[in-house]
Amino acid sequence: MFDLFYIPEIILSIGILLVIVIDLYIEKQKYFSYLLIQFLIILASFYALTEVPTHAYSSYEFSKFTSLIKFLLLVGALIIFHYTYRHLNYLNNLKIEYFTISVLGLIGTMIMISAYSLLMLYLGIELLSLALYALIGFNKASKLSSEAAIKYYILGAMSSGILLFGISLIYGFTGSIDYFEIAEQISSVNNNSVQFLGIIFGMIFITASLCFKFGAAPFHIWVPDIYQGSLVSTTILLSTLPKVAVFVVFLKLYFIPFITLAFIWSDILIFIGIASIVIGSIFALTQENMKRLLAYSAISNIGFIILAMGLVTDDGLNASLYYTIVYSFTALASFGIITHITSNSHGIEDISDLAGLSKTHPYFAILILITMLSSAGIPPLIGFHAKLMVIQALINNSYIILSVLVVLMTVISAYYYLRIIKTIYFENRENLISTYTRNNILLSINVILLLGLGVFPFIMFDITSYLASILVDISI
Amino acid sequence: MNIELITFIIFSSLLIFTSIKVITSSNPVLSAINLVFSFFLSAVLWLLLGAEFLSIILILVYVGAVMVLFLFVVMMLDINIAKKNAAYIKYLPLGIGIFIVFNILIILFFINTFENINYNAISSINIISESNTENLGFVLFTDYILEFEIAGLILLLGILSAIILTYRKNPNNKYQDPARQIDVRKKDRLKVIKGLKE
Amino acid sequence: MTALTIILLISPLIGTLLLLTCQNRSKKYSILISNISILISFLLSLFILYLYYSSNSVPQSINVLTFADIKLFSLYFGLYIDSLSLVMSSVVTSVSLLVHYYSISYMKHDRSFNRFFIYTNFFTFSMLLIVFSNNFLQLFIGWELVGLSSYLLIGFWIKKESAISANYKAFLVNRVGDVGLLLGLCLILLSYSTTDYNQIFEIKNSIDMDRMDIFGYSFSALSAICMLLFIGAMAKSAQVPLQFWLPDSMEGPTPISALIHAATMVTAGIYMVARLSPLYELTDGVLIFILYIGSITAFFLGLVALVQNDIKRIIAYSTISQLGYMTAALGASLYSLAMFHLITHAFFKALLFLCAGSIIIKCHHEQDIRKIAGLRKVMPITYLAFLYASLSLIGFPLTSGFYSKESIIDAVGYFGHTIPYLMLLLSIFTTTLYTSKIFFKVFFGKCSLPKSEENNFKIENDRQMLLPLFVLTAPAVFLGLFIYDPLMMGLLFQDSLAANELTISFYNNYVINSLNFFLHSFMTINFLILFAGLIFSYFYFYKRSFDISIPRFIRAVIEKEYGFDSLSRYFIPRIQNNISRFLWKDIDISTIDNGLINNTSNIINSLSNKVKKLQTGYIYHYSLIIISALILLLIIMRIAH
Repeated sequence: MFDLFYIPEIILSIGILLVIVIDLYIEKQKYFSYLLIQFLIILASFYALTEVPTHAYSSYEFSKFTSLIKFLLLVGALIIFHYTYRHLNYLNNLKIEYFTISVLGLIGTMIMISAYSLLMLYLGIELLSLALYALIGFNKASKLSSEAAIKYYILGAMSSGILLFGISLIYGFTGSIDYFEIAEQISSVNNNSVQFLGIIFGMIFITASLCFKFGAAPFHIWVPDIYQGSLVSTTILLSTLPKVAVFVVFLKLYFIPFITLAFIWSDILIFIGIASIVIGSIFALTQENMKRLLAYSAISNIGFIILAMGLVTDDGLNASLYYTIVYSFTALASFGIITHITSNSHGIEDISDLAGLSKTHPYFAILILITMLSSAGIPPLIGFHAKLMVIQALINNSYIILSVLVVLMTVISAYYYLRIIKTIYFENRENLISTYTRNNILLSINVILLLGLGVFPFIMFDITSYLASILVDISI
Repeated sequence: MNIELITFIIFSSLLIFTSIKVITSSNPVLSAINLVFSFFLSAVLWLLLGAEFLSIILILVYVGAVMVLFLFVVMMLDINIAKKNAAYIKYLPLGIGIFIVFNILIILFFINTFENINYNAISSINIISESNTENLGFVLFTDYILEFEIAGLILLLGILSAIILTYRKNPNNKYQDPARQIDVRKKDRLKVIKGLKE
Repeated sequence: MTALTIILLISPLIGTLLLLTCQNRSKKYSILISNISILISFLLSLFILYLYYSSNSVPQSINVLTFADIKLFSLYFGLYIDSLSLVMSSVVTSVSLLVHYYSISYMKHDRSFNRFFIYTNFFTFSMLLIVFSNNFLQLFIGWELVGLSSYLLIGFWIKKESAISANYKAFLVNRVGDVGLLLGLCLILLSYSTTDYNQIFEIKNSIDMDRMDIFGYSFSALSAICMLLFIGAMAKSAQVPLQFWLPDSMEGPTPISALIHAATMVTAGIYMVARLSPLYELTDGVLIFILYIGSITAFFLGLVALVQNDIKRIIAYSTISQLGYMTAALGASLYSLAMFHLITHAFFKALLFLCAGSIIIKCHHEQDIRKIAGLRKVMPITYLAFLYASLSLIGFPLTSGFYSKESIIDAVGYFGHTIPYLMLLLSIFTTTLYTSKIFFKVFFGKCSLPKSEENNFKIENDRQMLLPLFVLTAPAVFLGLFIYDPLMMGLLFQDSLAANELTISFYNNYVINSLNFFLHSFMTINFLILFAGLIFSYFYFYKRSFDISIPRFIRAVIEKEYGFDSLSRYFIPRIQNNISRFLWKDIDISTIDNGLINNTSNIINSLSNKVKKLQTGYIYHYSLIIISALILLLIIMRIAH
């Protein structure tokens, strides 16, 4: 049963149990425990890339696609933990449990990615969500943090309920929770039968719940409050790892069991995508809080991803993969920068806290400049190519009006990205800005990649089209 | 109309009623008691499906452990009876409206749906014997072992996060240290001071 | 070779960037960076040129870096390495290097010393970008950058009002040409769907018959493309009627004039037409047009130089006139001759300008030749250099200018273009006149300098300013003699230029060899005219033995530059002003700004403010919204199916 195939997850699970125990004995040497965790992740990411046979366990899938995505996630986690450690250390709020919980959540994302049955998917989502509840409420000193945790907990429970209802409907009408069997059942079902209707009903419930986890409009409502309430290090985690995992879940669900229902879910996804882009862009305009603003920007970015996915074509798939990776990259950079800066002896809250950054810390100012320009979609940065690909895919599928709308929304969203830049470079206000480091190599590499991959967009394009091609392999 | 259906209808409508009472009653103790009732009723529903193990486990775990603990907490904390505030009344029509629309949609979907379907998904788990417990145990430790393990991981995470969120090291708390109590010497306790002569 | 060429190309750019980053460093630093970066380019140019000829390479087009690959076109950075681009880059970098060196002392008292070198380095880079480009987009980018840097340099003295208006003018006139170039580019994309030179040259045969219909007129696509591109070249290379920006560009520092006139800017147009010669060969009518434009420019703008009194303006007009010669040669399909004249002209014109610069510095920024006189004794080196450059300019036998210019005139005549031939012939006379005018007035007569400086023979000028004069004199006088034969036999630009056979036949039947051409020239009418001009000017300018009163009317016409002056100064600005005012006030501000943009943004802002209230923060609101959204999805699904 337990072959060596489960390596990344098993390594992390067993390793994290060890860390919990070890940490009890060396409570004072937190850095050591931290290093241990980082070592675990490196080990896991190393094994994630090793060749694995497909379908080792019927409800758990190993393929090139999943292992590549897992590798990306692990690398992302590595970087996030690096920022987190320094950030928490700086705030005097360092507990090694933060990392153990994060790693358990990380295992949750990996389970979600590999899940090949609805039950496994549910367990993965629960593991992730539970970790996130704890991480959001981690900052006990802040009322906002507790409030956010409670909010996310209750709404998350509700969305889990919706998900379970959907899953039970699917199970009830197809008699299976396995993706492959569900796909077979659906393709054999008559289009006008009641069974078909029930499956669609279940699918929409699942969609709603996943959209909630994704933070897509109109299920986005929790996003800004939770982003604002939690620590920046939690926000950076929230805005990268779960998004990628949920995205992969979306891909696998829609392109494996529900592929024959594409004519239904494509409309729904396009609606959700457009709604997210519009809401994300317009709500963000008048936000003063940096994290809320970035939360709305995340909503609008996720709109792009879902929109591209809703096209059900190869270029749409490519575009959504491309956009997801670019988005996570940009989010990693933008939140990563914020973890480094404090203003008036607290973390960055309002945009105006950043005023005068260009004079005191030009290095960080330039990093923010590049990241924001990339988010706004200014060529030659990578954000431009991502948006371009989505819009191109839209046009190729003759959604002309939608593409115009999307472009207009991009223009609107450019406004608030540029506003941040304006605040940093042109506003004179006395802020006591300090950072705990003069520079950070990882951060610089991240931002330089935003620029470099933008100048040579084909590197990324090759990666995503490879990913898309191996994803298609699975679905057949 | 057979006896199974009649039982089902009685118990499920009772279940709905008690569930509504859980969220509408203003006294938290009453809510908790209603929740206990609803657990019992859903246990009966499990029984109707022939899943006796699950029904017993539901009562044992939720009623026997979780709800008792919950009632303790409620009583110890001395929570006041919540007043129905204005917002409650304000949003009631909207809530009822959404409730009705939701139900109409579901009814529109599933009207006369399950009547002709002879898909007994549960039957397929009777693998090794008639005993529900054995069957459940068998699949749980063979086909679904990975899921089982992951559930364990979730529980671990639950414990971990509950501790980390509630545990506070408060320096003002007064507590005894048995080790130091045992360790104590006479001279630590008693200090002889020479009194002043008059 | 490619790597070296890339280094050659980006060396000035790196120089620019380095200079940009250390603006507050000392002058020495700027000098070092700017000169060394150009020096690297220059040495590499020569080296690659040597490599190219010694290894008998063939032209190669290399795509170095692709920026974007869209279905319609691909934007990439490429190199076209062949004899033409290498020779051109050698000319550009050598002149640029000397000008840089010269500028060190010319600009030494200027406060924006660093800025000057930033601009010049960038200018050189832009020109090299044009020279080495292997596709039209890169050409266009280089073209625009050249325009930009010339704008910056002409208006270098930002506090001088005339300089500002001059650079404005130069920029605007160049925009007119750019429109032509841009339209040509669009047309190329439309009809060839590629921008690569080689690909276009390959498919030209299938496409040149295609006819396009625009507004009911039908014409060959290729001709239209070439015509539009030539409009771009006309503006850059200052041909009638887009020539009037060039004299005004004299407002910039004199080394810049040398740079613009000799190497980096005005030659771009000529170079582009020569580069695209395979295309131009296939057009009908365009070449004739070019020929006439060239000869008209050569003759009429030469006349204008006669009535000018500003030393730099005279030389500027002479540049226009000489560019006219080159254009005429292009029009007569004598591309290698045009390039030849471009090269020789680059050297002697740079020399002339640098001499003028020395004179101006010596006379404390006095440029009016009526007020300068008798510098022969004071500035003997400049005097000699100027003499040689002038001889080359007027085409005195055996000098570089002689070989290039006489060949053009004779070849135009040889191939039977009678009217252009006559015009070119006559402009020999005018050329002689205005050159001698400067020469005699500036160097002879009573010395105009104050007594104290008159006797100060020792210090003619800084040594740094004199060295470039020495260096430039050699190619200005003798370069023609050395490369004349290989050039005319078609060896120099073997694979790069079209219609080499015309030049070769001219060479074989008429010239035979350089010595013969030299001897023969004494018996031609050209020399007669030249000689007459010399005699005339000797008596008129030097001896002042007679005085000619030109009719007021003609003088006025010539002084006003045939109306172009007032056209550019009064009419066009006024019309443009009115149109722009209308566009600004009525269209832009009231309709677009207030009507569309501000309203939209206000609406969106207020919308955002309103919808923000949806985010109440209450959990029950949130769950309500989520449930409603779920129901919405169900309803959508229900409606859709």
